[in-house]
Amino acid sequence: MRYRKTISNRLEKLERVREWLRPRLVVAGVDQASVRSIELATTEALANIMKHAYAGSDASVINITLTVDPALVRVAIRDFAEPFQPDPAKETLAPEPSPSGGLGMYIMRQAMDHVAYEQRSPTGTTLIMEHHRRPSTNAPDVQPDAR
Amino acid sequence: MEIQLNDAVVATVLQISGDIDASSSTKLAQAVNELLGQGKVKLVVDLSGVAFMDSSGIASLVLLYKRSKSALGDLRVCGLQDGVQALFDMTRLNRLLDVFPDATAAMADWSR
Repeated sequence: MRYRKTISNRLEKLERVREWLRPRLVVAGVDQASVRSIELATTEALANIMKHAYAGSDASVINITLTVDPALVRVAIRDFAEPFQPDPAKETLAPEPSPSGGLGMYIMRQAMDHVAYEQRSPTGTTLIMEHHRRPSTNAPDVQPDAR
Repeated sequence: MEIQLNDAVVATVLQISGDIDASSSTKLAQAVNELLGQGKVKLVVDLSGVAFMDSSGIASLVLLYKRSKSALGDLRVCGLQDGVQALFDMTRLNRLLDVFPDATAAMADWSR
């Protein structure tokens, strides 16, 4: 199944996105721990775009595509900011918890099985995050409309 | 996210409910800063009502822990749900902050 959502560049939308993701993942039988990981990585990615990529930018929307396959969940996040060049070292090394943040990309890498960036034309970046599905043992514990 | 303050004998407990993300973490920081300004430097952040936290929540807790220490106080956390516990483990925050099952346990040695 594939789902699409467009949000505006406002941090208040982060919770709405999680509320959009959760029921779709639960209905598809994605296990509870994986649902949490996908919500976390997506929130971190969107917050990064809003706080950094879109800071001082006229860009105002972000497109999200959720694909749920039998073996894989994929979240693709398309922004329209200046192309982003990630620093692989920053994303894989475990930073010390700090008041200044800097953990977002590390958390995305830890929460998901695969993270990649595709430069888009004429501007922007598509972030693709994939999470391999695991046998669900506790799906009934997560209620689609619990939040 | 909502914050309820409970003044105990030895500390102030902040009972948090709701998600902590980049849109709400500043509210937590403001609440703790106000308490520190009032001289309430022993604080327990009860996260039993928090199902979701992201890196902005981590950054806020680290900042507030350091400020409370600077004021000769302390900041402890308790009541971690599974998702928040996983985030603490992932980011090694549990090496910096003392984590307790509940607020009573968090304050136990303060009352001695």
